[in-house]
Amino acid sequence: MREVYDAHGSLVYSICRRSLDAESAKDVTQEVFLSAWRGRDQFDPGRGALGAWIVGITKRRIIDHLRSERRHADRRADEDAATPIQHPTHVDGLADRMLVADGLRQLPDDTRRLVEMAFVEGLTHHEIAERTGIPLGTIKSSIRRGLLRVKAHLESTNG
Amino acid sequence: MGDNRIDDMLDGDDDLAEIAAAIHALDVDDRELIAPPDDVWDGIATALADEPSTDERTVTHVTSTPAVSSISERRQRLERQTRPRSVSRSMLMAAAAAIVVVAAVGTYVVNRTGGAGTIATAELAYDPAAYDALGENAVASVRLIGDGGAFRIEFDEAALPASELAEEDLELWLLQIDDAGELVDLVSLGIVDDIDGGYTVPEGYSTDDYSVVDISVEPRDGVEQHSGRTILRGELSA
Repeated sequence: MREVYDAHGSLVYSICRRSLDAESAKDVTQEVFLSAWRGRDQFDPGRGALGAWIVGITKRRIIDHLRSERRHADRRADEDAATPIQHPTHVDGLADRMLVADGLRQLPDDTRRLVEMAFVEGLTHHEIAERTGIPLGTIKSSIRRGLLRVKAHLESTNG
Repeated sequence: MGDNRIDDMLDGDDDLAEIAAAIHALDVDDRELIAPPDDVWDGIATALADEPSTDERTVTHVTSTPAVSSISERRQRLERQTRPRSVSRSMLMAAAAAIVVVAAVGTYVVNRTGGAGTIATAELAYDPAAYDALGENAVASVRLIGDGGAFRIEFDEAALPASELAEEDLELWLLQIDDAGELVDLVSLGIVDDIDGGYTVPEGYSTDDYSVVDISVEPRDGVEQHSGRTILRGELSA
């Protein structure tokens, strides 16, 4: 489990931290990995990526936490209730984007650079070719491969 | 950057265009990671210690060794004989005996008249640090027999667990492990349901390479990949 935490702990914590206050982010991160441990038999490596599965758990734990916070806030209407930083409907999008970023990070450096030039900087294939000296055909196929790898990183058909 | 531009770049491949658009939509914060404070892991480790099963390596097998599943996918594309799968659900106890979860072990000794056709033998042992608890009292010795070009594994002696959980089988594998101790590939010899029987090594697999014998607990979930729950393992040697 230590290895799983080392591989995915920062991603989970970052998603939590951008959705919750610091203390809750720590709590929910712990809950995510405990959930992953308890539910490990349900994870099937043949049906998706581990990171994607864990991000799925992360979304659910954050939303659970936000809902419970909201219930407590309603009850504590007179007190200084901490306003949730994120609305539950935003958590999904945030988590998905960070998983995409995670997939990008996993790419080999040269492939990632090409993908970034194309879709972050917005260069055309020709512009990339000019800048890098790499043949057009190679650029196209490298970019496709890179996107396919990111796609695989996002895949989770696990329960 | 318009969708048209992305489409042009990807020849209208919708799936990839979606990914490309998602990458385009990333902002700076999305691409940064914040490392959790040290006490986050401490809390997890403490909680794990209180969990019913603290065999952390079991998780490592399943989740942190993606090599097993992707290798299995490769394996399925390799030409191989149909695995002999038994229809009968009978387990290994020769005599009906009380079956207790985990602790029940049946000892079965096969009287072999010795080495005719024996190429190699292996003593399979349980590793409490790394294997599934079901193997705790288990042990087995096997021999590799060559029979006119075909090879099979036979049991000499085996003490194997009978599981009260109706949905599990024991499966026999040959593993290819490289010099660094890393799993390279694996092939299944089938479900272990008849201690008397021979387990054919599928054609094309050499026990020079696939020299490690492995027995695992497999749930009956239709998933062909190695579950990661090894109970016994040992290397063939001449």
